[in-house]
Amino acid sequence: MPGRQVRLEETVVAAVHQNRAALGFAPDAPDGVILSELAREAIQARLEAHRRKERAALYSSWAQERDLSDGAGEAMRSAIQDGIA
Amino acid sequence: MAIRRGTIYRIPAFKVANGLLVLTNDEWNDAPTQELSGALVFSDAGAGRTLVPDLALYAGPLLQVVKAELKDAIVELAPAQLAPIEEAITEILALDDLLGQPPRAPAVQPGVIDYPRWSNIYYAGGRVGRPPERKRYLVVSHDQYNRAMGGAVCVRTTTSERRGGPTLPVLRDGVTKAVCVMPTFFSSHSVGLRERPQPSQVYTPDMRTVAAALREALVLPERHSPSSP
Repeated sequence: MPGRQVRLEETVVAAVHQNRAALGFAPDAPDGVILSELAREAIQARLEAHRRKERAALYSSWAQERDLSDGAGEAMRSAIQDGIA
Repeated sequence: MAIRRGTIYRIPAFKVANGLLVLTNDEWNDAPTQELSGALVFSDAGAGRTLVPDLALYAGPLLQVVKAELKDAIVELAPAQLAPIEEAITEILALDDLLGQPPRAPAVQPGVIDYPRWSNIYYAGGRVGRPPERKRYLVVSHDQYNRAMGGAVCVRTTTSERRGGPTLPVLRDGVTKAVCVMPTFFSSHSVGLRERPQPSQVYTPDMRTVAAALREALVLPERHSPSSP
């Protein structure tokens, strides 16, 4: 397991060295800083993608909610009547 | 037509506003739901309106509209054009104060109360559904805005048994859900200021939950909290 982890790190570091400028890092930026930044961004992106999926599933389940569809258009009608929209 | 957040759409039914800047997240915009929310867009400056950079347009109150009423897309805003509008909405909804540590309620406004008040629940709009009834709305804009505008931004509440979740949070009573994906402005005379539902108010911990849901629903950026210990 440790050997596999070392090989993985070497692969990532090599990829970072090859693409340092394309990834938007300064030529003298330390590997550790680059790796931690990339890891943080990747985790954030994964979490956001998960959250989007969670929202989409929730919204589908609410799409036929009668209590919400009953009032559809009422806020807009009120705003037009009241001279707001 | 795919509806996208950050785009201004023409709505022919409007008499005063030029269109609507869609602000609900795109998962909601894509869902087979009937309505969404955004900021009304005007060609004139006015109270509670924010200039859209590089365009002779001003973004005003949030409004819940029927998706089918959105016609042509007029312009898609760049992030820099959206930023001041997002900032204004964040301020109106007091999100930074409520989501700070510790959470802080917006200031009480001295004087006559002839407007819907922050954190209070009212019946608003006309009677809808079967049997016809007025729906309950929770006021989420701060009272300085409500007083100046003669109305307030509100979110529907429901006791639907469907599960709650992101942007549709369950409040502390374990029953009420706040529909934070559809904040909407009501003028004071479309709100029942005297005949009130029960409960008629929620408190800061629930308003903090609602604030987090509004931030996610409208994809408003997080900022450093101005709250101090």
